[in-house]
Amino acid sequence: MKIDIGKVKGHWRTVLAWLALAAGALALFGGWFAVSGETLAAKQLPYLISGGLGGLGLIAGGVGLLIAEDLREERTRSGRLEAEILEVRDLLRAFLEKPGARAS
Amino acid sequence: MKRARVSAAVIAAVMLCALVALPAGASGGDNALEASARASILVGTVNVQPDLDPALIDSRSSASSLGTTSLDSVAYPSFLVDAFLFLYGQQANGRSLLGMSEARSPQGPTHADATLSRAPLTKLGLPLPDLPAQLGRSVADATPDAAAGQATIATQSLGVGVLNNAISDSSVRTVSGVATGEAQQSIFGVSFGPLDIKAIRGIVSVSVGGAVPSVHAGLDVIGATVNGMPVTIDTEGVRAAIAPLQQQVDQALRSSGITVRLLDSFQQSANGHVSGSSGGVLLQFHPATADMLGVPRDVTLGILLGSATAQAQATPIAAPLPNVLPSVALGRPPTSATFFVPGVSAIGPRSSPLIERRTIIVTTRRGSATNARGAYAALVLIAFGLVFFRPLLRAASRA
Repeated sequence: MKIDIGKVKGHWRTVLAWLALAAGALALFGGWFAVSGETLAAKQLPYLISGGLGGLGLIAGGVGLLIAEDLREERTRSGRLEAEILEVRDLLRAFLEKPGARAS
Repeated sequence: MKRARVSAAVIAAVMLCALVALPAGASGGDNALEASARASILVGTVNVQPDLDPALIDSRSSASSLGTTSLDSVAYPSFLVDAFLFLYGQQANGRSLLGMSEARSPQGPTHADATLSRAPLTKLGLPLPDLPAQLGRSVADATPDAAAGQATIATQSLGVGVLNNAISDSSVRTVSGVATGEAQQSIFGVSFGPLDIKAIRGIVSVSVGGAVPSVHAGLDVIGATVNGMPVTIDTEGVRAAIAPLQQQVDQALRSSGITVRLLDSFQQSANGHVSGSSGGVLLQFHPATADMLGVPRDVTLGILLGSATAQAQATPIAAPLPNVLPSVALGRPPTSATFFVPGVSAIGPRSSPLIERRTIIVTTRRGSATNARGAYAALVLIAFGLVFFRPLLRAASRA
């Protein structure tokens, strides 16, 4: 499968977000597996902090990036709509100012 | 939009399946793990159990939830002597003189080397006696999850015979819910009267807590000869490789007062407890001696060569505990029927194994054990929440 670099560059937030989510999930499960193998709380803490908090941070970052991408898309869409409305307004204004237009 | 929802649902399903599946695989973590291993040349084991067991080239390691330790010594006088030195504040010095090193975790020291036992005497300007530690070395290491040690000698004369290049190793680990113990005792050159053995190796390894408990134990005896005649050694005694020479072999051993036989190795696995022993080559001497008053004494001296033992145990923590725990049998030390009691004849092989008894002291009340799994589960739930946060946000914005 050929990867379109240009497309990836255009959606870098989405790509990074899913990578962060995958890494977060891996860290969470790796940490859980390690924690489940230890009986002593003192030995579980490093895995809790590295795997648990680290994984949570990665997932939070990934979700944040996805939401940021959503907002960016919404803003692009709003901008496009605004431009189209302005264009329609200009066309309408030009049409109305044309001599004889009212008569028709 | 639809693709994002599908992706989120797939991720959530995978995470849920994994969380449901993992506790079963992690059940080993709910076990209290214990392992011990010992390799040694037992000398003159006096039949007072459990701990009056002088030994040469002794390496013993153990691990439990309380910590790990390895005690390695060129000469181990016996538990009672060791305890005596401890009570009178002389344990450190006494141990160095005997070439003993002990490493412990978490208390420390985590590394000990008794090869340096000459140093204190040299500093004090004292004459250097023929210390056991000078014949070899003993080192011990301990970490929170593992302990290992080794004791070695180049040559050791015991009066009745000579041992060359003896090595005892022991190691234990309690990692990822699995307890393992390994021990190996090797001697390359044994010479007692007419008996010569090129090499003896006893080896044992045990593992418990994983998918399948395992135990392996074995003993190799290579190049045994009596007055140059090749022989084999079994549990009955010594057999001449060339049958017609049997009588000469028996005569040579009888005239030197030596009895030789093999102690069988054994392997045992039941109810989360595995143990094994390599057995060993038991040499017994019957010197005709008399006490200070000239009264004849019937004394038997015994040496067990190639002895390696190990045991490991996984006890479910959730199991109901009785209010008062009885002593439990955790394994058996290598045995040799040797007695120094005047007037008492040597007793033959024991019909039943000796049992080492130890009382488990439970310091944590059942049900009150705190661990980080609850906190970890909370983190995973928060992660779930975050994964669903975006679809929820989208759905809310459309409402």
